[in-house]
Amino acid sequence: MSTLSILIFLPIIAAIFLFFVRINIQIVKVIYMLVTSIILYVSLKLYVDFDPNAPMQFVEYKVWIYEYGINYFVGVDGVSLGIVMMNAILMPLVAVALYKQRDKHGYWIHLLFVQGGIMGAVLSLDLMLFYLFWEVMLLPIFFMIGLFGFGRKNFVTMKFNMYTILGSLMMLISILYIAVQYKEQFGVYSFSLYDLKNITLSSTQSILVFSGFMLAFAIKIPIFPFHTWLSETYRSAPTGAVIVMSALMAKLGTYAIWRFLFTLFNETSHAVAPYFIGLGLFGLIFFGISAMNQTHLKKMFALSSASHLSLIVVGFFIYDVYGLVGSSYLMVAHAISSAALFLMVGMLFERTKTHYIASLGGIAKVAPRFALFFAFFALSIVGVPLTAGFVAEVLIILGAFNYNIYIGFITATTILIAMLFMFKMISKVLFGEPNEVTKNFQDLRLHELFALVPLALLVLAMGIFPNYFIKNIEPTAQFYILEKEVPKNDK
Amino acid sequence: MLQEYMILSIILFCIGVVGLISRRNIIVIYMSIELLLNAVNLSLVAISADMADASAQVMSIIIIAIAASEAALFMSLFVVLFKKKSSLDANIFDMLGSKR
Amino acid sequence: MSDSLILNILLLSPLLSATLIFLLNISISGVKQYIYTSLALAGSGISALLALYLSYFSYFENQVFTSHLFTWLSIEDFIVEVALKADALSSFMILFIAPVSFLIHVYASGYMNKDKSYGRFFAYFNLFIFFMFLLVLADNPIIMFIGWEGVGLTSYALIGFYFEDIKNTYAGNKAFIANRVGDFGFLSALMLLFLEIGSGGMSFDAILSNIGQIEAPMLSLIAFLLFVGAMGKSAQIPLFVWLPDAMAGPTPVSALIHAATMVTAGVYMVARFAPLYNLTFDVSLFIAYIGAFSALFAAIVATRQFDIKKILAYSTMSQLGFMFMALGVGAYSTALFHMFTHAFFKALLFMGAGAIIVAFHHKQDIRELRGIKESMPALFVMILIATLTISAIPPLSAFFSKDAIMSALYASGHAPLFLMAFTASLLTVFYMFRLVFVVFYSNTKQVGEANSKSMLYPMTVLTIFSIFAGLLNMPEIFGGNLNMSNWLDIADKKFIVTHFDELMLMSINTLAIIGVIFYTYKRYAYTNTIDKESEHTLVANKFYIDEIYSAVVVKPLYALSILFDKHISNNLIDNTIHNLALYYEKLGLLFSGFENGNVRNYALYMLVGAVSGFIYLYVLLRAAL
Repeated sequence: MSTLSILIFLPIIAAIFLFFVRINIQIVKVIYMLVTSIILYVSLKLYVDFDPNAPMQFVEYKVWIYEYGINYFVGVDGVSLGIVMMNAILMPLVAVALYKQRDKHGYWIHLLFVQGGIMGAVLSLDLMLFYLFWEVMLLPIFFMIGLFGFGRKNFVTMKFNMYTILGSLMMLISILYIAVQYKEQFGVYSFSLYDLKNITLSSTQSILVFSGFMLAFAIKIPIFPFHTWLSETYRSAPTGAVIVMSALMAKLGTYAIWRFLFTLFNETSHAVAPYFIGLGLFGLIFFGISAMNQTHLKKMFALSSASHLSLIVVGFFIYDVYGLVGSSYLMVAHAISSAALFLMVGMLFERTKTHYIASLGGIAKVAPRFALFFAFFALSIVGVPLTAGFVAEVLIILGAFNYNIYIGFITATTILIAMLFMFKMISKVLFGEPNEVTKNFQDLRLHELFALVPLALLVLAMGIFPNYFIKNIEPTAQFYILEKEVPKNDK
Repeated sequence: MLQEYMILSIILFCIGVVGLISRRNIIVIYMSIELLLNAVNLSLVAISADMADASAQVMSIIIIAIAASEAALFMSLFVVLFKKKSSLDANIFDMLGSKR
Repeated sequence: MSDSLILNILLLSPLLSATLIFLLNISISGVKQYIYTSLALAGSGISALLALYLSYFSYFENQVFTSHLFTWLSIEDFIVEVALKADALSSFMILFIAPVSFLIHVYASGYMNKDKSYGRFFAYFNLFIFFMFLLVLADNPIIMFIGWEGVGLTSYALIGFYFEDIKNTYAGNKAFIANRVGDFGFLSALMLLFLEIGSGGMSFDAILSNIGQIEAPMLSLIAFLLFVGAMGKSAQIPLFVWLPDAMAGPTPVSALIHAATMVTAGVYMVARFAPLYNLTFDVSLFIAYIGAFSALFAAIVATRQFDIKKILAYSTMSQLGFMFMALGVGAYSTALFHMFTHAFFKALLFMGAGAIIVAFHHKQDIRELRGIKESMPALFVMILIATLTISAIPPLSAFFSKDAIMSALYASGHAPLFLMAFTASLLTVFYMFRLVFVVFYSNTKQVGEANSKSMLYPMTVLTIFSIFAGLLNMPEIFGGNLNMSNWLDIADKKFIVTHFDELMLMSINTLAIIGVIFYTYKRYAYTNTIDKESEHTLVANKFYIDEIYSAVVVKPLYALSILFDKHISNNLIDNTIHNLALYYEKLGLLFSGFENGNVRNYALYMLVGAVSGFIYLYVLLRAAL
């Protein structure tokens, strides 16, 4: 099997194997570690072998359902590489951090499954394949919340699932519609991205189909006003699921906008861009301000994630090279930071059995290392210099100013928004005198440090030497810009 | 000649349907089902004789065989159901319904 | 040693020592204190020595040191190099930043003695110096912005250093948030600058040589936004609210960050963009007036404060106002000169205040610190000299710098500016001597603990600097030749003041100051006037600025948060969705009555279905039959 297929199918096969072969939980964890480590190794090799200047690489093409033009068609470029790497890096680290906590087979099996699903969705270039993996990655999360979640988990996971499936079905309809249109125009069926982008649609058709896709992505990201599943779901989800959702799946929504919508409906994307920039900016401020009043840590971080994802959407729809590179960079940067933060919230809950900000406090005194890392990752979300988020935000703001000076000013408020709630939260959770809940707070254990230190170093490296990472993304962005030859928006 | 057989068959079938719908005892319901089967058997045999074609008679013999095995199955079901609820009232066994 | 190596070591040695201390501190507990001390002093000492070396060559041989480390970002035209450049202005900045930092390090090793977070303190402290060097040595404004935010971040960490009291961390939050509002302006300005002329390169030289290409309104906007950054960092109206609260940090922090170095970054930045501000008169004038109002406002508030550090904090804000006045009228090197002298005497004042605070077990209220002259004579002399310096008594250093500002304001022809500056400078004398007379000249006597030598020696050095720093930029009238201004070679506006006018100004000024000192002496020395001053007046409550901000900014934001989260997200959107689901369910209930689990009913439905099927077939086939 070639590289990309290993990335996609090794975790899925391992998950199915573990599902049918009931063995000791310790062995399950070992197999999990083994598989994710192999994936990490293969991804690192992919990163090293990746040629920044080639458009789409490691392409694999195998005929699957010939009559309907559905094929196994995968490939990687600068933007998908980022998510692949994040997926590969985060999954083993999650296990390193949590291996003592979770003694359920299903937990690890579902995580493996979702890893394969995400890889597949990121890498596929065939719309049917993409739809398949898009749904595959949803199901494990549904079960994880339902089985291992907190609070009203059944209601929440149902709501999340219904919401997401509503979107994906609209997307499926859109996919089938354009495939049929392709058949009418070219005489054969095809679901390949590169074939489908050649079809011509009237503007009404194109807007309808666009909306079908956009609904799926907007729900997954989420964009205002499709966000109401978010904070409840994050609140109920177990740590592993919430990391996958915030760090990877939400990013997949933004990634899919770039990969599919911009390729398939170039003109429509342009025509509607101002609305989505507006929605994105509104979401950025709306979610940020909403987060100020949250009392529950996970809900606060959920809204914080949503705020940043709205910023990513803005960066994509601005559609110049700074915005595109900035957004792609922010996807990766925010994935690391939010994964680390949710991981730490998980540790916090394990120690204190609470998620409420008001009942915490004084952790810095009893657990300095925990406080250090927690503050570091929280600040990296705020986007202080020397962290990856800062680079990405500067680029998006630059792109926004390039688009329009007023949009630029509103986008620049991102450096204020996250601060509004993050600093108060840091003060309340970490500082002050320890109380009854936190006075016996155990500092980070060795295995938890093993999980967090690489993430922290990565955030720093991406903030201090961004050029080394961005040179992999930039040619892809340039390629997109050139391919479009879009008339540049006048200021 | 056929017409009379058919009328008898229809009468039997109607009795079966009415019994199936209106009676509550499971055993009686089962008897009604048997009646339905036999009505069909009767018409099959009559049509077969009328058309001088034996295949319908073969079919009806198979139906009788199946009905016999059904009888065994039903008997055991009655026992299980009666053990569960100490009653054979069909209205009690409505777990498939959407009542909350 | 090559030029670039010197710069790199100068920049990175504090970072290295900060990293080492940090790693030691979090990985091993119970590290001996002297290890931290030596690491911290080595980090700052090396850079102090190199800074002196650098400014020596810059001053005498006009040498420009450059260093290129790596490329930070390169996307299309947006090419940001991590490059350092020590031209005259940067050399001048590190000339006082590095030595003062080193001295305050020495002082802090005494002040923080036996503190349980000793290591953490020095890690942050050295990290701060690193960011400060990055700020002043950066060759392009983006890297400068990284340093700019970095000092804000370390300042946040140090203000909230004693985090057990959550109020301290709130003060840190306030500082960082106010600073970031400024950074919002700064960053926007940088983005606009790049989009206008960035293709020519983002180094300061390239930008400043290309600013002529920008149209006037855009240039004004950029200049204004840059100044918003300066407002935040240098605590000017309206973003000053954080500075008084920032005094929650340990006193060495206040001395280094909130008096001598970080808060002057705004002045440095405006001076750095001097050619830009020379083209935008309206913005320059705006800066001058903001400076004037800040100077006056802070001076007024300082007259009714009781916390020794808060008085000094407002004094810092007031002195920064003076600098911005000078910047606004185009006397850039004069402003820098005052910044230079201010760094020494204000650091000295803070260190003196810190020494008193340590000696009297963290009492900070001047009403409780009365009559301590006899027990600490050396401290008294040093604080008195610093107070005379800030009051601009000749021939102490600030006399020259402040006088240069006053004559520049006088010559610029903006009478309101001059009058405000004059009033503020007299108020400065008043509140400083109020402090001195209340604390040292009292009928009651107190004895505090003796201060350690590591605290007193740096103060002695700074006292000497405070006295003589004025020599660097002697005006012609005293036989000097403005060495510093010539060295810096900034695009100053030239003001012509006749020697007679200048002498007149000086003498009036000095006489007025001496008059104020006498008045203050009468009022506060050996009296109880201070006890009669109420804490509840408008002035003592800082004109209720904090309360106004809370009512105008903070509370509405929280109200908005509740509106967004509870009303829009939950009630409007989520309830709509839930209701949709509910109606759908109700619709289902309507039909689910049929499905009651009763087999006989199902048979009936079958019958009904079959019969209606038959009827349909009959109707359909009737014609054929």
